[in-house]
Amino acid sequence: MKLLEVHVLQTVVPSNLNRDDTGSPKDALFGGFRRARISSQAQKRAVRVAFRDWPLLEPSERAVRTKRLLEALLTRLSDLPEDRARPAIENALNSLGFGVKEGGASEYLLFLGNRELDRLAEAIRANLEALSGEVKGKKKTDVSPEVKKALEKVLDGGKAVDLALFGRMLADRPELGVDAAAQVAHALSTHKVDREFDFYTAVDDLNPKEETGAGMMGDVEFYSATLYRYAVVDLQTLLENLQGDKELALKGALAFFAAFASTLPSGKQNSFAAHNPPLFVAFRAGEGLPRNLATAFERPIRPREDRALSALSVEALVREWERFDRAFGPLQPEWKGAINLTEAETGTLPLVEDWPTLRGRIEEAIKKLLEV
Amino acid sequence: MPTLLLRLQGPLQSWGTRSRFDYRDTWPYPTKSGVVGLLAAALGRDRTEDISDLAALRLGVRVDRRGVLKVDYQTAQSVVAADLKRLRDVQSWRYFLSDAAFLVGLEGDRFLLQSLHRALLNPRFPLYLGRKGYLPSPPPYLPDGLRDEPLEEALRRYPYLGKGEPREDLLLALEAPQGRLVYDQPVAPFSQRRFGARYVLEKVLPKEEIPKGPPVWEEAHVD
Repeated sequence: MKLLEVHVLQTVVPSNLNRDDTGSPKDALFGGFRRARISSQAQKRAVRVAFRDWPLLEPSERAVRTKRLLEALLTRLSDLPEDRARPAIENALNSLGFGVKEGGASEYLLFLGNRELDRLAEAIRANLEALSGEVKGKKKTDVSPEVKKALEKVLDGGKAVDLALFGRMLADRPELGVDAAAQVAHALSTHKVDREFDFYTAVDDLNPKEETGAGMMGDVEFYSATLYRYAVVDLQTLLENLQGDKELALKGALAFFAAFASTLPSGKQNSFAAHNPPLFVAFRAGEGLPRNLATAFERPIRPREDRALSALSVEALVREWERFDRAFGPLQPEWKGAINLTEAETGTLPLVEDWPTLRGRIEEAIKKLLEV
Repeated sequence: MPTLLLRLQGPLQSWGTRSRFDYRDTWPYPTKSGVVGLLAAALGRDRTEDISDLAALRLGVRVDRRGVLKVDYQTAQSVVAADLKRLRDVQSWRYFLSDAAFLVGLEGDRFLLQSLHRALLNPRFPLYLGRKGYLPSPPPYLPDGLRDEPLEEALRRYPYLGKGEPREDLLLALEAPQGRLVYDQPVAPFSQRRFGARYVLEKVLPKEEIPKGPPVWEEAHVD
């Protein structure tokens, strides 16, 4: 497969970025020892939020999760008289199986590309006459099969990059599903972690002087960790999901790289502020076997007084990289590079100084791979 | 008949057999449906495509490291309720095997096994251990994974995946005409999610009989 891999080593100070139903930070066992864990889904959400908020992608390149289809389509058809547009839209949505309820919201919360919405509006405009019948609800709607087909044709993912990367599943309409092009591993600490608790008391500000007890108390669990984070993008699937738009696939892959490498879930950040940037970011692009390097840390990295845990982790990662190269061979062709902010020796891995240069290297690689 | 061996190892893996909805369980070792799915992904087969050739292979699993059963608690906001009438926030408990390692064998047609062996080195879709975020490390591909021996012999003779010799006896689970009943036999393309029954015979492999690990090719390349 044609792939882009991201390898990140990131040291976070005491924090609780991703927690379970008891409030404890998530964990896993690996190599026989307990490790800090940040789940795949939590990291992906942070990436999606960054696509929207930074912003890394235009609205037309993103998908929206909405029930307000009727409103969204009415805005797009605002040049038509509303008494003509509204029934046509309702008939169209009903025929697609996204029934419209009173008040105008569809039954479903749908993950639709903004461009899908634009094109759906255009398809409704083109079939205005055929859709002008009486609105009868989802089961009884009388829309001809040809018109229905024309409407369904536009629901193809609409070249939304987040949809192409993370996929879509519609239980009722599996044929409109999209298989995700990006795979994100659960982040694990390179070392073992122990449970640590912060016991707190909160004082009642209005306590009278003679009353000295606390208003409440409890404890918060946390840990600090050097995390290994890994993701891989299947570039061929990304391109197919984006209907062969190479420029957009390039932009999407670069946006994913930037967002994945520089975001973390935000759990309990108001209490911990663990805004620690990654200390090591490497990429590997080309065609062949994807390789998660977590086994570099199967034997947990042990703290030493004279060396930083992060630097020891980078060296273990590079050793595993080289070992895998010897055992499985490199990608054909292959591009790779890294930014290293630790004091670690990085062997034959080509280093760059800053983000723009690293981004440039990746861009060059993807352009060759996708023949942009 | 020849056998193809692969390694399913990673920090997290999950092999569900029967759960639906919010609680997702895992079988103690890889399922037929899970392994067939992984192979189909390596070949680049779409979910709607026929997989009867893969499902016809005979599966065996050697449990080199059992792992520990743990649970990943997940939440999702604004999920559509089953009656499609309202949105709710849902919780889900996803069980997984932490730190497990399995040697998996597939017995069958040599030509098919050869093409699978090649596909594992350059898979068309990313491979995963039961859930998309559960990535293998190291990769499932074993350079010497294509064996002339039949299934049970291949699984018995391959070196232990860890270092040295196993600390305890290993479990061997072989597809057989009778034994433990598992509902994980794919009977239709994956898009239809239909699975049938299969029997698995479980045996104990004495630790003394297993060749010391790790596999030679891995060691030979290490500094």
